[in-house]
Amino acid sequence: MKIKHISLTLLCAIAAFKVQAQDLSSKIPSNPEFVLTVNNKAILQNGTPELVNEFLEKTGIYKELSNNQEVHSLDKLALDLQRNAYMYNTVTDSVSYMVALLPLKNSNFLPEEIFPKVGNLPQVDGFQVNYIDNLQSAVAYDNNTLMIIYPSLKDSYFESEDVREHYGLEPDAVQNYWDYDYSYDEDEDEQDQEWEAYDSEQAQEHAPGCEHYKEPEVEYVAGVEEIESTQAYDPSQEPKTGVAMDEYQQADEYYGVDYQGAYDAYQTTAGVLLPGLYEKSKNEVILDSLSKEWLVQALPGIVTPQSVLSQNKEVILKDNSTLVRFWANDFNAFYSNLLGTSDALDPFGLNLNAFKSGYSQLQADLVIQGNVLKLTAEATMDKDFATYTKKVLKHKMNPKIKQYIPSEHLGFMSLNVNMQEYIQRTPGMFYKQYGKFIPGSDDIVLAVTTALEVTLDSKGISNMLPGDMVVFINDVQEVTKQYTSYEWDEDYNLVEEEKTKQVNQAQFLAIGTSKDQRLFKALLQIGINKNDCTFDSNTGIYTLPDTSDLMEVHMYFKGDLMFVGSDYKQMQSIANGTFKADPLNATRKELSKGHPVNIVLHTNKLSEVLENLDLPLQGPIEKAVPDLKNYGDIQLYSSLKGSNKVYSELSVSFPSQKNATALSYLLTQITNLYK
Amino acid sequence: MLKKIASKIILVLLFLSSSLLMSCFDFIEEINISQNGSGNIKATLNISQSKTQMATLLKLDQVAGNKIPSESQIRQKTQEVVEILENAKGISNVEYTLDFTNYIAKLSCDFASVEDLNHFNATLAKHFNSTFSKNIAYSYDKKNQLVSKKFTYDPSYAKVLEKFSQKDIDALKQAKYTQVLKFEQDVVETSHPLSRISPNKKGVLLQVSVVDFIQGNTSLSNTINLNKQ
Repeated sequence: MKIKHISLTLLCAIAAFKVQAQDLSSKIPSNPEFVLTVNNKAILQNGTPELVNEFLEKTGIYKELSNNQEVHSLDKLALDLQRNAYMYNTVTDSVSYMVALLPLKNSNFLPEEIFPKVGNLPQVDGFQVNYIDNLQSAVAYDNNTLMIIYPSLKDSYFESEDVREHYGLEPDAVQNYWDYDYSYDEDEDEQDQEWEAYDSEQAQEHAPGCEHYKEPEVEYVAGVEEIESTQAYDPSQEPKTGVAMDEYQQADEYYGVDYQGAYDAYQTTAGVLLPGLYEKSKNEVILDSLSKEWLVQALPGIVTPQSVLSQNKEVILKDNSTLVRFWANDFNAFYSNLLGTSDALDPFGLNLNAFKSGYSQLQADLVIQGNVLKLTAEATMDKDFATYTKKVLKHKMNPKIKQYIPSEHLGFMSLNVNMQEYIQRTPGMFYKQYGKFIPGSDDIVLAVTTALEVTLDSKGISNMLPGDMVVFINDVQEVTKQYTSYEWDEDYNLVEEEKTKQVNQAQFLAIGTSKDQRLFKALLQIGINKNDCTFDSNTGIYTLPDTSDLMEVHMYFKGDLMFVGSDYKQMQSIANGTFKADPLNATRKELSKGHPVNIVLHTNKLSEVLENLDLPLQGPIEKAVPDLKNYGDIQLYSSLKGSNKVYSELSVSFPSQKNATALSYLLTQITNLYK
Repeated sequence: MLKKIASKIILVLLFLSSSLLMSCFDFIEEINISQNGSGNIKATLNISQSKTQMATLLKLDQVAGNKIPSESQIRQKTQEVVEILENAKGISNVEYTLDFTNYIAKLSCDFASVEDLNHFNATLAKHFNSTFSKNIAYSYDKKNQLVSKKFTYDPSYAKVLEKFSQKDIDALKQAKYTQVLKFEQDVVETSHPLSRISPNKKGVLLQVSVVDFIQGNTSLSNTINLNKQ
């Protein structure tokens, strides 16, 4: 069943109909943990209905969805894919609800086995409600909207001793289970007798799956919204009101949730269960019942939120290029919930909740721009982190680096930060973010970070390495490699010989600014004295030998630039001024942007290189290599945006084809795999 | 003798070679047999020519769905083989080296009689659950001074190559298996057309392409007729 719902959700992203209706963002409550928006209209425009249809047909998604009904066309789907679909999560301290909001064009198209005809089901605020998967989830729908709701209890809430006691949960059941000594004890005759007396047939009758086994029942009725809600237990409230237990008991009776009775079935078999298993089973029954009960109670608030998020424009996608958006208003809370942390310490004694990322709002988009597919992320920083980031990232790359862009390079990686600011400010920022991470040690962290601030000569270090560096991956070149061979003398005695052969190897060139090169040169001199490296006084090039069968590394200093590379001829050309820089401007322009991090791979050049390198590529990857010639660049960069945001973008340029977008290209490629 | 190890290693190498389009690897087996039938054997696996690709390969977890053993796993497996050898009947003085810089592995031991090589093969075959070594049998007829290695080809060996492209097989053809047998007596003649007798008559060298052997184009069987003194 769940697979079907997931398929429905996916389908929502890939079909279109011309129905004008209210945007479903009006159904999102004001405080979601995150919102995922799927821009169906943009997906269809970029993917074309024909390709989407073929994709669904060939990949078998139609078949999966149709449930014995023949569906071969988008027209047969119930979903209105001209409107955005949403998925969001709401969280309390005890339970979270994942809700999928899918636009409908007509609820009559929904499969009857999941969505019985209108009128056969209870209603909540005009929505038909059906509980599915044995009350593990729910669907609510009208002619305009389909909601699928998955509850999930939070483990951290039930770690509290008061809460566990309140709900009758056995403590440390899992711990007991693993701690049990399973070794045989000959002295425990009485226990042996109990095992012998155990009636296996009777036990099976009470086991889940047996016809006599009774699942804990939760009755739901129409008009459920009239029932007084039982909220999750808050131990801090109980002494004040003194009625909390009564309210729970009333609710339990109303919904028919009988925790004690529910695990009585297990209790009869408790004598045959290993220690810990009984408690574990009992806890599972109780938690399962709670989940069901809370789902029933929460449904009215989910169907009709008291306050909604629709005023927040960030979650609504109207353009034709953004296909999917992920939005989280409080990144720290989202991250904390993702870890499932509580105020309690984790098993390693760390207080994960104390970690402060420095980010508040997070927005990630999947964007199509012609044949380019982009994944972008934009994070809003808090005041301290924004100040830190601005200082650390404010740095101008040495313009001389651009004079040494190698022609025929496969790609590059550039780093451009202000080393002095980084050294000065990072210890303090580290304390703010991690100081409370290890309980009771924040003063130690403070001492260490202060010591770092005081002792590190930020100016001196930044003179050595100011923070700008570019690494180019050069074209493949033939290099000489030594290897061992075995030959025989005339008496057939084995003789070991060293031989050489030519192999292809990708070369690299790293260029960075260094105003004070004394330390590097002093270290190299030590290497020379110990015969660990050599120095050519004619060229000024230092050479570190190939000791680990990788490659020789050469170093050269010119003005305030430091060069490190594996291609000796290239290093010579830098030294004697005959270096020929890449005549194309693309890389020069990229470096001029001065992004803190920028990684570019010229994919179209990669195909030939991979073939020459004899890398272990097989199967689909090997087949895909020749196609790389038609691709554009793959790029990842990050930069500051505005006064308090950091922006990152990963982009892939797919082969450029007439009337085709990156999405249509991808759909075609995937569909072809199924032909 | 170490045929079992050889078979296992060669099969792994075939895969690795195909994956990497390695130009070649060499498997060398040196056996010294004294007049009383005792002797020593030294097996050398040399992948030095492809050490750059080997270094790349060992950094990968798997290639085309085939798990690549780590350096520590290779060491562990080798140690297992050595322990088996040390406990095999008639086998002694077991030594080995694994050079992960040049990718050369060496394993040597002494044997009390030529037949002990067969016991050793059988022990390893049981350990690796393989039938390869059943097709190899050494014998030494002291009376007639005949040393023979009988090898029965199994057509299933060739199936290993069916997974490889012609390009891979062509690359594999450079991989060689070499056996050097040395005696105290003079060698009179050998039965294998590719085997050569050393000028001092004390040694026999047989070198075949691994692909030829797997495809059944070349047999490993050889009978060596020694001078009756």
